[in-house]
Amino acid sequence: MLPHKLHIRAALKLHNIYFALATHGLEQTLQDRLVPYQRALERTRTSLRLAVSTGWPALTLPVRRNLHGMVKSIRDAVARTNHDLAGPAATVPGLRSLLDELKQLEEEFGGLQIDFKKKSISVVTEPIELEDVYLGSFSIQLCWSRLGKEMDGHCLEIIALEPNPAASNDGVTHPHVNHGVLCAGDATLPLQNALKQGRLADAFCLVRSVLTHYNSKSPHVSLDNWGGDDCYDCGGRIQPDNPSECGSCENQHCSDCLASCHACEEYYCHGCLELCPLCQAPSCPGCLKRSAHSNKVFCSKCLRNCVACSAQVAHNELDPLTHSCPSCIPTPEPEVLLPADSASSPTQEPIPTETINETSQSVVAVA
Amino acid sequence: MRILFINNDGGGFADHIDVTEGTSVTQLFAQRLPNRKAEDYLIRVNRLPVAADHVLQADDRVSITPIKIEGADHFKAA
Repeated sequence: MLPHKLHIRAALKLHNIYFALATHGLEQTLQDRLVPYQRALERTRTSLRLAVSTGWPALTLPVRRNLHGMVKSIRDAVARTNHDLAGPAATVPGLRSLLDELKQLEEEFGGLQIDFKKKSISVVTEPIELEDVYLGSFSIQLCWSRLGKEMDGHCLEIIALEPNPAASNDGVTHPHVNHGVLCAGDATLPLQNALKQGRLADAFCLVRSVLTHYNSKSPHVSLDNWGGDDCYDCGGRIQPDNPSECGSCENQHCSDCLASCHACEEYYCHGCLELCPLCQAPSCPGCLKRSAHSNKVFCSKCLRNCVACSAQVAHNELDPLTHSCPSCIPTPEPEVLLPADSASSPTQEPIPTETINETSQSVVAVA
Repeated sequence: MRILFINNDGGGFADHIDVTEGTSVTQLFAQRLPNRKAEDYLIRVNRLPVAADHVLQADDRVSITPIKIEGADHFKAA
Protein backbone atom coordinates (compact mmCIF):
# COMPACT_ATOMS: atom_id res chain seq x y z
CA MET A 1 0.00 0.00 0.00
CA LEU A 2 1.24 3.42 -0.93
CA PRO A 3 1.60 6.06 1.80
CA HIS A 4 -1.60 8.03 2.27
CA LYS A 5 0.11 11.33 1.43
CA LEU A 6 0.92 10.07 -2.06
CA HIS A 7 -2.73 9.26 -2.58
CA ILE A 8 -3.64 12.78 -1.45
CA ARG A 9 -1.04 14.36 -3.71
CA ALA A 10 -2.26 12.38 -6.73
CA ALA A 11 -5.90 13.10 -5.88
CA LEU A 12 -5.12 16.83 -5.77
CA LYS A 13 -3.47 16.67 -9.20
CA LEU A 14 -6.46 14.85 -10.62
CA HIS A 15 -8.90 17.26 -8.97
CA ASN A 16 -7.12 20.23 -10.56
CA ILE A 17 -7.26 18.54 -13.96
CA TYR A 18 -10.97 17.90 -13.69
CA PHE A 19 -11.59 21.43 -12.41
CA ALA A 20 -9.73 22.94 -15.36
CA LEU A 21 -11.61 20.68 -17.76
CA ALA A 22 -15.01 21.67 -16.38
CA THR A 23 -14.16 25.39 -16.43
CA HIS A 24 -12.72 25.28 -19.90
CA GLY A 25 -15.66 23.29 -21.13
CA LEU A 26 -18.20 25.75 -19.79
CA GLU A 27 -16.26 28.76 -21.05
CA GLN A 28 -15.97 27.30 -24.52
CA THR A 29 -19.66 26.43 -24.58
CA LEU A 30 -20.66 29.94 -23.51
CA GLN A 31 -18.42 31.42 -26.19
CA ASP A 32 -20.03 29.23 -28.83
CA ARG A 33 -23.49 30.27 -27.65
CA LEU A 34 -22.60 33.94 -27.96
CA VAL A 35 -21.92 33.64 -31.70
CA PRO A 36 -25.58 34.52 -32.59
CA TYR A 37 -25.20 37.57 -30.34
CA GLN A 38 -22.11 38.66 -32.32
CA ARG A 39 -24.05 38.39 -35.57
CA ALA A 40 -27.00 40.30 -34.14
CA LEU A 41 -24.59 42.97 -32.92
CA GLU A 42 -23.11 43.39 -36.42
CA ARG A 43 -26.53 43.68 -37.97
CA THR A 44 -27.55 46.27 -35.39
CA ARG A 45 -24.47 48.37 -36.05
CA THR A 46 -25.06 48.25 -39.80
CA SER A 47 -28.69 49.25 -39.48
CA LEU A 48 -27.84 52.03 -36.98
CA ARG A 49 -25.29 53.56 -39.35
CA LEU A 50 -27.75 53.43 -42.19
CA ALA A 51 -30.51 55.03 -40.13
CA VAL A 52 -28.28 57.83 -38.89
CA SER A 53 -26.71 58.53 -42.27
CA THR A 54 -30.01 58.68 -44.17
CA GLY A 55 -32.00 60.23 -41.39
CA TRP A 56 -34.98 58.13 -42.37
CA PRO A 57 -37.22 57.53 -39.39
CA ALA A 58 -38.57 54.39 -41.08
CA LEU A 59 -35.17 52.70 -40.58
CA THR A 60 -35.57 52.75 -36.82
CA LEU A 61 -37.74 49.63 -37.15
CA PRO A 62 -34.91 47.39 -38.41
CA VAL A 63 -32.69 48.83 -35.68
CA ARG A 64 -35.23 47.93 -33.01
CA ARG A 65 -35.62 44.44 -34.52
CA ASN A 66 -31.87 43.82 -34.43
CA LEU A 67 -31.61 45.12 -30.88
CA HIS A 68 -34.33 42.69 -29.91
CA GLY A 69 -32.33 39.89 -31.60
CA MET A 70 -29.30 40.78 -29.50
CA VAL A 71 -31.28 40.59 -26.28
CA LYS A 72 -32.82 37.26 -27.28
CA SER A 73 -29.47 35.63 -28.14
CA ILE A 74 -27.94 36.80 -24.84
CA ARG A 75 -30.94 35.57 -22.90
CA ASP A 76 -30.72 32.12 -24.60
CA ALA A 77 -26.99 31.79 -23.94
CA VAL A 78 -27.39 32.73 -20.27
CA ALA A 79 -30.34 30.35 -19.75
CA ARG A 80 -28.51 27.40 -21.25
CA THR A 81 -25.35 28.13 -19.34
CA ASN A 82 -27.33 28.32 -16.10
CA HIS A 83 -28.78 24.93 -16.94
CA ASP A 84 -25.29 23.52 -17.59
CA LEU A 85 -24.07 24.71 -14.20
CA ALA A 86 -26.44 22.25 -12.57
CA GLY A 87 -25.56 19.35 -14.90
CA PRO A 88 -22.70 16.80 -15.26
CA ALA A 89 -20.58 19.09 -17.46
CA ALA A 90 -19.92 21.30 -14.45
CA THR A 91 -19.49 18.45 -12.00
CA VAL A 92 -15.99 18.11 -10.69
CA PRO A 93 -15.20 14.93 -8.77
CA GLY A 94 -14.48 15.88 -5.20
CA LEU A 95 -11.15 15.26 -3.52
CA ARG A 96 -12.73 12.67 -1.20
CA SER A 97 -14.21 10.85 -4.17
CA LEU A 98 -10.87 10.77 -6.02
CA LEU A 99 -9.09 9.48 -2.93
CA ASP A 100 -11.65 6.70 -2.70
CA GLU A 101 -11.08 5.89 -6.38
CA LEU A 102 -7.33 5.49 -5.81
CA LYS A 103 -7.88 3.28 -2.78
CA GLN A 104 -10.37 1.14 -4.67
CA LEU A 105 -7.84 0.72 -7.47
CA GLU A 106 -5.30 -0.51 -4.99
CA GLU A 107 -7.82 -3.04 -3.62
CA GLU A 108 -9.05 -4.25 -7.01
CA PHE A 109 -5.61 -4.73 -8.55
CA GLY A 110 -3.52 -5.52 -5.50
CA GLY A 111 -1.36 -2.44 -5.95
CA LEU A 112 -1.13 1.01 -7.48
CA GLN A 113 1.83 2.95 -8.87
CA ILE A 114 1.85 6.74 -9.00
CA ASP A 115 4.52 8.47 -11.07
CA PHE A 116 4.50 12.24 -10.61
CA LYS A 117 7.19 12.77 -13.25
CA LYS A 118 5.30 10.88 -15.92
CA LYS A 119 2.02 12.22 -14.47
CA SER A 120 0.49 8.79 -14.44
CA ILE A 121 -1.19 6.22 -12.27
CA SER A 122 -0.95 2.56 -13.19
CA VAL A 123 -2.01 -0.89 -12.10
CA VAL A 124 -0.93 -4.38 -13.14
CA THR A 125 -3.28 -7.14 -14.22
CA GLU A 126 -2.95 -10.82 -13.45
CA PRO A 127 -1.20 -12.83 -16.19
CA ILE A 128 -3.55 -13.21 -19.11
CA GLU A 129 -3.88 -16.29 -21.27
CA LEU A 130 -6.41 -16.39 -24.09
CA GLU A 131 -7.13 -19.61 -26.01
CA ASP A 132 -3.87 -21.22 -24.85
CA VAL A 133 -1.82 -18.21 -25.92
CA TYR A 134 0.08 -16.77 -22.97
CA LEU A 135 0.15 -12.98 -23.16
CA GLY A 136 1.46 -12.22 -19.69
CA SER A 137 0.58 -9.38 -17.37
CA PHE A 138 -0.24 -5.89 -18.55
CA SER A 139 0.25 -2.52 -16.95
CA ILE A 140 -2.73 -0.20 -17.44
CA GLN A 141 -1.44 3.34 -17.26
CA LEU A 142 -3.54 6.51 -17.06
CA CYS A 143 -1.65 9.64 -18.11
CA TRP A 144 -3.53 12.40 -16.34
CA SER A 145 -1.95 15.13 -18.46
CA ARG A 146 -3.80 13.66 -21.47
CA LEU A 147 -7.13 13.39 -19.67
CA GLY A 148 -8.48 16.61 -21.14
CA LYS A 149 -7.48 16.06 -24.75
CA GLU A 150 -8.07 12.33 -24.97
CA MET A 151 -10.99 11.46 -22.74
CA ASP A 152 -11.94 8.72 -25.18
CA GLY A 153 -9.33 6.27 -23.96
CA HIS A 154 -6.12 7.40 -25.67
CA CYS A 155 -5.06 8.74 -22.27
CA LEU A 156 -4.64 5.10 -21.29
CA GLU A 157 -1.56 3.13 -22.27
CA ILE A 158 -1.47 -0.66 -22.14
CA ILE A 159 2.05 -2.01 -21.64
CA ALA A 160 2.85 -5.71 -21.92
CA LEU A 161 5.15 -6.67 -19.06
CA GLU A 162 6.03 -10.10 -20.48
CA PRO A 163 5.61 -9.34 -24.18
CA ASN A 164 4.56 -12.18 -26.43
CA PRO A 165 3.60 -10.18 -29.50
CA ALA A 166 2.02 -11.55 -32.64
CA ALA A 167 4.52 -13.03 -35.09
CA SER A 168 3.26 -10.79 -37.88
CA ASN A 169 3.36 -7.53 -35.89
CA ASP A 170 5.59 -6.74 -32.92
CA GLY A 171 3.31 -3.89 -31.89
CA VAL A 172 0.35 -6.19 -31.26
CA THR A 173 0.90 -7.52 -27.75
CA HIS A 174 -2.74 -8.45 -27.27
CA PRO A 175 -5.45 -9.13 -29.88
CA HIS A 176 -7.01 -5.74 -29.00
CA VAL A 177 -3.89 -3.72 -28.21
CA ASN A 178 -1.75 -2.15 -30.91
CA HIS A 179 1.35 -0.18 -29.95
CA GLY A 180 0.02 0.36 -26.46
CA VAL A 181 -3.39 1.60 -27.54
CA LEU A 182 -6.44 -0.37 -26.51
CA CYS A 183 -9.27 -0.70 -29.00
CA ALA A 184 -12.00 -0.85 -26.38
CA GLY A 185 -14.82 -1.93 -28.70
CA ASP A 186 -18.02 -2.29 -26.63
CA ALA A 187 -16.28 -0.70 -23.64
CA THR A 188 -15.64 2.58 -25.49
CA LEU A 189 -18.72 4.48 -24.30
CA PRO A 190 -18.77 3.34 -20.66
CA LEU A 191 -15.02 3.93 -20.50
CA GLN A 192 -15.38 7.47 -21.80
CA ASN A 193 -18.17 8.22 -19.31
CA ALA A 194 -16.21 6.75 -16.43
CA LEU A 195 -13.17 8.90 -17.23
CA LYS A 196 -15.29 12.06 -17.67
CA GLN A 197 -16.95 11.54 -14.31
CA GLY A 198 -13.74 10.71 -12.48
CA ARG A 199 -14.76 7.07 -11.84
CA LEU A 200 -11.22 5.87 -12.29
CA ALA A 201 -11.69 2.44 -10.71
CA ASP A 202 -14.57 1.74 -13.08
CA ALA A 203 -12.42 2.84 -16.03
CA PHE A 204 -9.55 0.51 -15.12
CA CYS A 205 -11.94 -2.38 -14.45
CA LEU A 206 -13.52 -1.86 -17.86
CA VAL A 207 -10.09 -2.01 -19.49
CA ARG A 208 -9.32 -5.22 -17.62
CA SER A 209 -12.61 -6.70 -18.83
CA VAL A 210 -11.52 -6.10 -22.44
CA LEU A 211 -8.03 -7.50 -21.87
CA THR A 212 -9.30 -10.71 -20.27
CA HIS A 213 -11.69 -11.48 -23.10
CA TYR A 214 -10.99 -12.40 -26.73
CA ASN A 215 -13.25 -11.11 -29.49
CA SER A 216 -12.41 -13.43 -32.37
CA LYS A 217 -14.50 -11.36 -34.78
CA SER A 218 -12.35 -8.25 -34.52
CA PRO A 219 -8.75 -8.71 -33.37
CA HIS A 220 -5.70 -6.91 -34.70
CA VAL A 221 -4.19 -10.37 -35.14
CA SER A 222 -6.15 -13.57 -34.67
CA LEU A 223 -4.94 -15.89 -31.93
CA ASP A 224 -4.95 -18.72 -34.51
CA ASN A 225 -2.10 -16.93 -36.31
CA TRP A 226 -0.42 -15.55 -33.22
CA GLY A 227 2.75 -17.63 -32.86
CA GLY A 228 3.71 -18.28 -36.43
CA ASP A 229 6.12 -21.09 -37.35
CA ASP A 230 9.83 -21.36 -36.69
CA CYS A 231 12.28 -21.69 -39.57
CA TYR A 232 13.41 -25.30 -40.18
CA ASP A 233 16.98 -24.14 -40.83
CA CYS A 234 17.79 -21.15 -38.59
CA GLY A 235 14.94 -21.37 -36.03
CA GLY A 236 13.87 -17.76 -36.62
CA ARG A 237 10.22 -16.63 -36.64
CA ILE A 238 8.48 -16.92 -40.01
CA GLN A 239 6.38 -13.94 -41.10
CA PRO A 240 2.94 -15.16 -42.21
CA ASP A 241 2.89 -12.92 -45.29
CA ASN A 242 6.16 -14.29 -46.70
CA PRO A 243 6.54 -17.53 -48.71
CA SER A 244 7.71 -20.15 -46.28
CA GLU A 245 7.43 -23.66 -47.68
CA CYS A 246 10.27 -25.22 -49.65
CA GLY A 247 8.88 -26.59 -52.92
CA SER A 248 10.98 -29.72 -52.60
CA CYS A 249 11.29 -30.83 -48.96
CA GLU A 250 8.07 -28.95 -47.91
CA ASN A 251 9.60 -27.77 -44.62
CA GLN A 252 8.80 -24.26 -43.33
CA HIS A 253 11.57 -21.67 -43.68
CA CYS A 254 11.99 -17.94 -43.09
CA SER A 255 12.56 -15.65 -46.06
CA ASP A 256 16.33 -15.54 -45.42
CA CYS A 257 16.59 -19.30 -45.76
CA LEU A 258 14.68 -19.54 -49.03
CA ALA A 259 15.84 -18.66 -52.53
CA SER A 260 14.23 -18.98 -55.91
CA CYS A 261 15.31 -21.38 -58.64
CA HIS A 262 16.61 -19.26 -61.52
CA ALA A 263 14.85 -21.51 -64.05
CA CYS A 264 11.33 -21.99 -62.62
CA GLU A 265 11.46 -19.10 -60.05
CA GLU A 266 9.79 -21.23 -57.35
CA TYR A 267 11.11 -21.04 -53.77
CA TYR A 268 13.35 -23.69 -52.26
CA CYS A 269 15.56 -23.94 -49.22
CA HIS A 270 19.31 -23.70 -49.69
CA GLY A 271 19.65 -27.43 -49.00
CA CYS A 272 17.42 -28.33 -51.92
CA LEU A 273 19.04 -25.98 -54.44
CA GLU A 274 22.20 -26.90 -56.40
CA LEU A 275 24.47 -24.72 -58.42
CA CYS A 276 24.59 -25.44 -62.11
CA PRO A 277 28.25 -26.26 -62.92
CA LEU A 278 28.02 -24.22 -66.11
CA CYS A 279 26.24 -20.96 -65.15
CA GLN A 280 26.64 -21.28 -61.33
CA ALA A 281 22.99 -20.27 -60.80
CA PRO A 282 20.90 -22.04 -58.09
CA SER A 283 18.52 -24.62 -59.51
CA CYS A 284 15.90 -26.86 -58.01
CA PRO A 285 15.92 -30.65 -58.42
CA GLY A 286 13.17 -30.43 -61.06
CA CYS A 287 15.16 -28.07 -63.26
CA LEU A 288 18.45 -30.06 -63.18
CA LYS A 289 18.83 -32.62 -65.94
CA ARG A 290 21.61 -34.88 -67.19
CA SER A 291 23.40 -34.22 -70.43
CA ALA A 292 22.91 -37.10 -72.85
CA HIS A 293 26.57 -36.82 -73.83
CA SER A 294 28.58 -36.34 -70.59
CA ASN A 295 25.90 -37.59 -68.18
CA LYS A 296 26.69 -34.57 -65.97
CA VAL A 297 23.83 -32.54 -64.41
CA PHE A 298 23.07 -29.05 -65.71
CA CYS A 299 20.20 -26.58 -65.26
CA SER A 300 17.50 -26.49 -67.90
CA LYS A 301 18.68 -23.10 -69.18
CA CYS A 302 22.12 -24.52 -70.00
CA LEU A 303 20.82 -27.54 -71.95
CA ARG A 304 20.21 -27.49 -75.71
CA ASN A 305 18.78 -29.99 -78.15
CA CYS A 306 21.10 -31.53 -80.72
CA VAL A 307 19.86 -30.57 -84.20
CA ALA A 308 20.52 -34.07 -85.46
CA CYS A 309 19.23 -36.41 -82.76
CA SER A 310 17.37 -33.95 -80.45
CA ALA A 311 19.22 -35.28 -77.40
CA GLN A 312 19.67 -32.72 -74.61
CA VAL A 313 23.25 -31.82 -73.95
CA ALA A 314 24.99 -28.87 -72.31
CA HIS A 315 25.40 -25.97 -74.70
CA ASN A 316 29.19 -26.14 -74.39
CA GLU A 317 29.07 -29.75 -75.55
CA LEU A 318 27.46 -28.86 -78.87
CA ASP A 319 29.56 -28.34 -81.95
CA PRO A 320 29.52 -24.56 -82.54
CA LEU A 321 29.25 -24.94 -86.32
CA THR A 322 26.77 -27.74 -86.72
CA HIS A 323 24.96 -27.41 -83.35
CA SER A 324 25.04 -31.16 -83.04
CA CYS A 325 26.18 -33.29 -80.15
CA PRO A 326 29.54 -35.03 -80.29
CA SER A 327 27.81 -38.27 -81.29
CA CYS A 328 26.24 -36.62 -84.32
CA ILE A 329 29.19 -34.56 -85.61
CA PRO A 330 29.79 -35.79 -89.25
CA THR A 331 33.26 -37.47 -89.71
CA PRO A 332 35.35 -36.29 -92.75
CA GLU A 333 35.89 -38.83 -95.71
CA PRO A 334 39.32 -40.54 -95.65
CA GLU A 335 41.90 -39.52 -98.48
CA VAL A 336 42.06 -42.04 -101.46
CA LEU A 337 45.70 -42.95 -102.60
CA LEU A 338 46.22 -44.39 -106.10
CA PRO A 339 48.83 -47.35 -106.42
CA ALA A 340 52.22 -46.54 -108.18
CA ASP A 341 52.49 -48.67 -111.64
CA SER A 342 55.31 -47.79 -114.38
CA ALA A 343 53.87 -49.96 -117.33
CA SER A 344 50.44 -48.73 -117.24
CA SER A 345 51.07 -45.26 -116.20
CA PRO A 346 52.90 -42.63 -118.19
CA THR A 347 56.52 -41.78 -117.39
CA GLN A 348 56.61 -39.49 -114.56
CA GLU A 349 59.31 -37.09 -113.73
CA PRO A 350 60.85 -37.95 -110.41
CA ILE A 351 59.44 -35.72 -107.75
CA PRO A 352 62.32 -33.57 -106.52
CA THR A 353 63.03 -33.67 -102.89
CA GLU A 354 64.44 -30.67 -101.16
CA THR A 355 67.33 -30.60 -98.77
CA ILE A 356 68.77 -27.78 -96.85
CA ASN A 357 72.44 -26.87 -97.63
CA GLU A 358 73.93 -26.65 -94.24
CA THR A 359 76.52 -24.07 -95.16
CA SER A 360 74.40 -21.72 -97.16
CA GLN A 361 71.13 -22.45 -95.45
CA SER A 362 69.51 -22.42 -98.86
CA VAL A 363 67.24 -24.89 -100.33
CA VAL A 364 68.93 -26.85 -103.13
CA ALA A 365 67.06 -29.14 -105.45
CA VAL A 366 68.67 -32.56 -105.73
CA ALA A 367 68.04 -34.69 -108.75
CA MET B 1 -34.87 5.25 -0.68
CA ARG B 2 -32.27 6.80 -2.96
CA ILE B 3 -29.08 5.13 -4.03
CA LEU B 4 -26.42 5.93 -6.64
CA PHE B 5 -26.54 3.28 -9.34
CA ILE B 6 -23.62 2.98 -11.79
CA ASN B 7 -24.26 0.65 -14.69
CA ASN B 8 -21.08 0.14 -16.74
CA ASP B 9 -22.87 -2.19 -19.11
CA GLY B 10 -23.89 -0.65 -22.45
CA GLY B 11 -23.73 3.15 -22.22
CA GLY B 12 -22.28 3.30 -18.73
CA PHE B 13 -24.53 5.77 -16.89
CA ALA B 14 -24.37 6.83 -13.26
CA ASP B 15 -27.56 8.15 -11.71
CA HIS B 16 -29.54 8.35 -8.49
CA ILE B 17 -32.48 5.95 -8.44
CA ASP B 18 -35.21 5.05 -5.99
CA VAL B 19 -35.37 1.53 -4.61
CA THR B 20 -37.70 -0.08 -2.09
CA GLU B 21 -36.34 -0.47 1.41
CA GLY B 22 -35.05 -3.97 2.03
CA THR B 23 -33.97 -4.52 -1.58
CA SER B 24 -30.95 -6.79 -1.82
CA VAL B 25 -28.13 -6.53 -4.30
CA THR B 26 -29.39 -9.60 -6.16
CA GLN B 27 -32.88 -8.17 -6.40
CA LEU B 28 -31.59 -4.85 -7.69
CA PHE B 29 -29.50 -6.69 -10.29
CA ALA B 30 -32.51 -8.70 -11.48
CA GLN B 31 -34.60 -5.53 -11.77
CA ARG B 32 -32.00 -3.50 -13.64
CA LEU B 33 -30.34 -6.21 -15.73
CA PRO B 34 -33.00 -8.80 -16.37
CA ASN B 35 -31.94 -11.98 -18.20
CA ARG B 36 -28.30 -11.47 -17.23
CA LYS B 37 -26.17 -13.59 -14.90
CA ALA B 38 -24.73 -11.89 -11.84
CA GLU B 39 -21.55 -14.01 -12.08
CA ASP B 40 -20.75 -12.24 -15.35
CA TYR B 41 -20.48 -8.92 -13.52
CA LEU B 42 -18.31 -7.22 -10.96
CA ILE B 43 -20.74 -5.87 -8.35
CA ARG B 44 -19.55 -3.38 -5.75
CA VAL B 45 -21.44 -1.62 -3.00
CA ASN B 46 -19.65 1.44 -1.66
CA ARG B 47 -16.60 0.23 -3.61
CA LEU B 48 -16.45 -3.11 -1.82
CA PRO B 49 -17.46 -6.62 -2.85
CA VAL B 50 -20.57 -7.79 -0.97
CA ALA B 51 -22.58 -10.97 -0.53
CA ALA B 52 -25.45 -11.60 -2.93
CA ASP B 53 -28.04 -11.16 -0.17
CA HIS B 54 -26.58 -7.88 1.08
CA VAL B 55 -29.42 -5.45 1.78
CA LEU B 56 -29.01 -1.98 0.38
CA GLN B 57 -29.12 1.14 2.55
CA ALA B 58 -30.01 4.71 1.65
CA ASP B 59 -27.24 6.61 -0.20
CA ASP B 60 -25.40 3.41 -1.05
CA ARG B 61 -23.21 3.51 -4.15
CA VAL B 62 -23.77 0.43 -6.31
CA SER B 63 -21.65 -0.25 -9.40
CA ILE B 64 -22.03 -3.08 -11.90
CA THR B 65 -19.26 -3.77 -14.45
CA PRO B 66 -19.18 -6.63 -16.99
CA ILE B 67 -16.28 -9.03 -16.52
CA LYS B 68 -16.04 -9.80 -20.25
CA ILE B 69 -16.28 -7.07 -22.85
CA GLU B 70 -15.55 -7.43 -26.55
CA GLY B 71 -12.64 -5.36 -27.78
CA ALA B 72 -11.97 -4.43 -31.40
CA ASP B 73 -9.23 -4.00 -33.98
CA HIS B 74 -10.03 -0.36 -34.65
CA PHE B 75 -10.72 2.67 -32.56
CA LYS B 76 -14.47 3.06 -32.23
CA ALA B 77 -15.82 6.59 -31.78
CA ALA B 78 -18.14 6.70 -28.80
